[in-house]
Amino acid sequence: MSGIAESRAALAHPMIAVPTHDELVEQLFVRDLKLFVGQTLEPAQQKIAAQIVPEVAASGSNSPVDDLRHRMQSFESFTTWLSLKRESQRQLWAAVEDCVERQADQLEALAAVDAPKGTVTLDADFAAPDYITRGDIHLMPGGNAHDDGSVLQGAVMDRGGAVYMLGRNGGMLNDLRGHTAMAHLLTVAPDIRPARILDMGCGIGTSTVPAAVCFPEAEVHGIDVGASMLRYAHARAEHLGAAVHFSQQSAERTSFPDASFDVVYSCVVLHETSPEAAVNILAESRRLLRPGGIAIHLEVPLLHTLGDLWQELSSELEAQFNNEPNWRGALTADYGQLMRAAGFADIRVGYQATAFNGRTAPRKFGEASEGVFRSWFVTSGRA
Amino acid sequence: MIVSLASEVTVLRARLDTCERLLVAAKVLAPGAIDTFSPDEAAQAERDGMRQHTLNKVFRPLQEAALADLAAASRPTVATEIQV
Repeated sequence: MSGIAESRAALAHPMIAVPTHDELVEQLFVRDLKLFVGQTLEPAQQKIAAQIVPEVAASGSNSPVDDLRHRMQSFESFTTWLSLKRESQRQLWAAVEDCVERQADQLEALAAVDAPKGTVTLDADFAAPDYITRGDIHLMPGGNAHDDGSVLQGAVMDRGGAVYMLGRNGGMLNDLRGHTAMAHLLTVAPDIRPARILDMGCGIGTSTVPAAVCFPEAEVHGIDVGASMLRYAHARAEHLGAAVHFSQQSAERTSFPDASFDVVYSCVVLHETSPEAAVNILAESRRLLRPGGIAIHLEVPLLHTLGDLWQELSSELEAQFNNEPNWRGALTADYGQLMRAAGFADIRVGYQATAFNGRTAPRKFGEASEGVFRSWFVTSGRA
Repeated sequence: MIVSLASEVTVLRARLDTCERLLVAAKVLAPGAIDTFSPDEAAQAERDGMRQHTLNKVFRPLQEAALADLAAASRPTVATEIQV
């Protein structure tokens, strides 16, 4: 049986929820609506802002971004654009949830893997941190820690992520960030042969599987706060042939002993936490490393936009209207200083070129961003 | 307006469902033929275009409102003339 434009057999992995004719058209509509909001409506707002920025500059405000926002709010099209931005994201999850719920039984059956290579360890007493439970990150209903004993929240995140990223992050595998982190590792340590690797804040394992792909001999671990996401991550990794050990833990303080990993990394995790948690996560990544081990923290490549008032405001709005709890904190942090404070040596701060395969990608790392989705912000250090 | 539109879409959807059922009963379509339909590349491109066309048409007023606000923001005001 083949579905519209894609069938389960043709997909990158069999766990992903497959839409019917109508569900796929609806998901494509949401994707196009989000593009319309971002690429047709937003540029007009940017031009309006350009007219207003000189007034903001002349006012000598101590908080120019707030001042710009206040002035923009007098334009009805500004508030309409923001409403549509929010609504398009809500529609995305609604469209994805219908598709996932319809095939709930099928997904549970697929998740029951015989003789798995990896493991999943859940903690019934685990309490997710406040920054996870305070609001649903990315507006995903229920949030990252939601758990009803099934794999469905993970399935929603996977399908939603594929639509949300609009195909810019590795299509249905959504794994370019993980490969980019591995490319950075091989850029700074070309001959490294890690025995144990940890992905902190692994979600459904999109960035974890690349570690297993690039280092098939390593023992790869992934930790996250959501039980449903981890159950799904385990099934997804098994279907991709990757042996990964998932466990439910906070990246701020894990149960692993000191010096138990050669490589510890995170991908776009810090901006979903808090300024305090980000410091704790860097410190934990340092504690877990063996002498000479390497920690890598990859983030959204937008830090270079600071200083452009509209870009700063647009960034704030994205954080507020799409529930990104530590957007400003993660994008304004002095990572060199934070890494030094965490006790790292050989610290690097810059941009790694986006990699499709961490093992074979060009080892390109530098101080300048190549732009969104072409490179990712990375800081790394050695224990 | 939205209530009328919802009502109209509901009627359209029911009529389309009727057509599908009659076509299956008449053995023109196999059961599930529409849900498992996979357009070829050319058809997919046309369908992408149709979706884009609808989207631009329905949301055009929002873009026009934004351009009107831009025109208003670009008009020189007394204050900016004084600064100049």
